[in-house]
Amino acid sequence: MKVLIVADGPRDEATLPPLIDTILGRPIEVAFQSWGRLHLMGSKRGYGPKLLFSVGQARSRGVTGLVAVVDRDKDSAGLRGHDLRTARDAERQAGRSFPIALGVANPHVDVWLLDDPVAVRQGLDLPSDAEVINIRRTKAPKDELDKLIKPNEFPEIADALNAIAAQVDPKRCAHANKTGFASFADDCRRELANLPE
Amino acid sequence: MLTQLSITGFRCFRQLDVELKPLTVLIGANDTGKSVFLDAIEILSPGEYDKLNPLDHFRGDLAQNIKTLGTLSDGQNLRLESRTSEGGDRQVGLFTGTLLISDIQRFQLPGIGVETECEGFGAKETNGLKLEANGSRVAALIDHLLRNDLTCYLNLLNELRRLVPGFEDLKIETPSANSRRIDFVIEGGFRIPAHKTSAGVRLLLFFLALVHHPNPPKIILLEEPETGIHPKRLGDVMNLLRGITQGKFSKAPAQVILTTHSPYLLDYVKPEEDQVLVFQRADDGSRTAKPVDWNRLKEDFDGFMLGEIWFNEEEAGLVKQEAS
Repeated sequence: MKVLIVADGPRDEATLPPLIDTILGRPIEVAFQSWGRLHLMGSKRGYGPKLLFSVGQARSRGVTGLVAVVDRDKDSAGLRGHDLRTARDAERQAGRSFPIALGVANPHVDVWLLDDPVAVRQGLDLPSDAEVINIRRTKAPKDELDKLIKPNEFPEIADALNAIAAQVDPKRCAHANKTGFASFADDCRRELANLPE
Repeated sequence: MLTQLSITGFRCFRQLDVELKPLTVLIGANDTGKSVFLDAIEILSPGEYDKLNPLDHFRGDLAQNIKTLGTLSDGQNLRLESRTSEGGDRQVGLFTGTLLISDIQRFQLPGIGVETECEGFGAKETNGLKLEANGSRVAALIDHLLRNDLTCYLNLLNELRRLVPGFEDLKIETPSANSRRIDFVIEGGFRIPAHKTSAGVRLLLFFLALVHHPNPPKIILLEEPETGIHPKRLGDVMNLLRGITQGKFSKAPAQVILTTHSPYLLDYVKPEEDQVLVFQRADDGSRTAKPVDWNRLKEDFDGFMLGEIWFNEEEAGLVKQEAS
């Protein structure tokens, strides 16, 4: 099964595929599209049209399903998630049933990793007693993760994030409702779990 | 108008068969054959085909004959061949066809704008009124309109007023007996030589002059008309070019075939009227051109503009998908 993931950038590109593998319980083939690289020049603005364009891209490329994730930081009103859901509804109302799983990470996707301290320690090969901050005590999960990554072991941060993501167990994510991970996992299962290989 | 073109063995094209419309837009990455395609049309013009040389054969292989076959809208065929005889002699010729040397003209406008001072058209030139490939001699053409077709001249002036904020009037100066220079009168009656105005304004002036040309070339080949033009102005440029294909202000419509790298310009293509050819490099190194698959785009990207689909999906996303 090949899935087009649309999210923010290289960090999300490294993080999301292993998380989706785990959620679905099987490996997926991935194509990645960054929101920032999608340039719509016409009258359409916002995440909704970008989602619909991505659906077109997915169909055009023969991809089975789409995963779209936005961050909640810099979007206190939650408009991005609302835009995505509205666009998906419009797609469904138009009689098209392309599988689209949506996620809103609060504040951003890195928190889905930090919320599983065991995965962080395993992925980064840290001692079992290494301190990993509780996500309730930080507003900057990305910075907290970066502090734990040793540059000599992971010259590329994306590799470190990928390694952590591969270890994440959704059951260990104590704040999954607050971070949006639980809702994202539900949506992935609902939209993608029953698709053919 | 050329309605079809078939090219065999010409430079980077091993074999190409395409349909052309009154307005045809060529897109593709650099070095995918767009300009060579214009060359292939240009050599159908008398006086051009004898410039063919051995390197114009596909991969320089003289054993591979060049054959270019163009079909005109009146059903006539233009056939150009360059072939090597058994004795090793190369024969080049336009074997059939009725095009005149002035029927095909190619323009590549400089981004710094077109010249607005030039030699005027003499009495003997009035049939041709040929603009140069770099767009110069606009001053001579507008001077000709002023003297011979006032209605057309006033149309041009009104269009210029509409397109250029602050522009009020245009004056043709004669710095010497043979030369003509365009001056602009801008707000407040301030008069400046046109070459002191912005490059983009002078490029618009060229397109306006071409639209109002009393006897334009039948086939206009245009390289990257977006050069030097603000993206939001490209709609105006496309409207002017469409005006040429409709003969809006001239005696006869002309065909326009242009190359572009601008997705903004592509947004102004009309699927139902225009042709868009997508140039790509094939696995064997030859170049191909395929029309945009409007059905595919309608199915997958309904409601999105062609330029943004091109920018995000690149060339392969615009043409008919190869059966896997």
